[in-house]
Amino acid sequence: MPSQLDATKWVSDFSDMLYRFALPRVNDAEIAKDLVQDTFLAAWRNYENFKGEISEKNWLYAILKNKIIDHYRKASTRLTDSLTTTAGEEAYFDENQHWTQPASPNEWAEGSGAPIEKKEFYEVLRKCKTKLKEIQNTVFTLKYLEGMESEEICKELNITASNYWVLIHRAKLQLRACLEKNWFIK
Amino acid sequence: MKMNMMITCKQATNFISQKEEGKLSLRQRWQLWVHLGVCAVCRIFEKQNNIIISNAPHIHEHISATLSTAEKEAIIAALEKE
Repeated sequence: MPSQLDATKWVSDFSDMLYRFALPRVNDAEIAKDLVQDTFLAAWRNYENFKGEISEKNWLYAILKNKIIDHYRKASTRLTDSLTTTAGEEAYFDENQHWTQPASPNEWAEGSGAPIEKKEFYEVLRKCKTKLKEIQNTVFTLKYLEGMESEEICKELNITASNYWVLIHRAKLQLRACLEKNWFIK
Repeated sequence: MKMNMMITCKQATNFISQKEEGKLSLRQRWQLWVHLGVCAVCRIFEKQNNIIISNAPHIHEHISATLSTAEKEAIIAALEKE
């Protein structure tokens, strides 16, 4: 068992870092806080298994990542009920599957290569992410924040490939529209 | 045959995501290429999609949220109870 001093040092060194990592992934401050506490507890209990092959920081990140995926897995049964309902969502395409006028992407003021006001951009991106349906946010996060392959994601969440592609598509359409509305003001 | 080669905007935007994972057949890649050649709106979508997905992995690096002192103390207390 690590000493009492370690507990204070661990928490002061790593808790904010872990919290910031969890927050955009689960989109809920309370759940993020619980996951951080669970991570510390798991690390504390298993400290003898820490081999020092990676840094303590990366070890804690690895534990947290597992906790986040566990959280998604537990939620997925509930989430998949609302899998592909698009009720209440904006219609992006018309009956001919062409962009509807209001949903058509407009050029953003910034070119893709130009430096953007990073901090603010990420803040808007995170806020837009919180507006996604939970299941959409989960697939988007696993794919683009965690870098997992679609097959892996389908397996973890127990969803079909066709459900996956619908979810990722809707998530992107919504994020893009939200960014255009709240960030790239022309 | 000619009509079959044309894809819609909805299909094109789906193809853009599937292409990221190398999921498109040669024919589908060609269909997407043709569509993007004539559809300026989908070209914009593709560009903005790239901005979103290339920045997404870095969101947490730009958050300044912190746990409160009380919340940190609660975690420390929980650890010490172990």
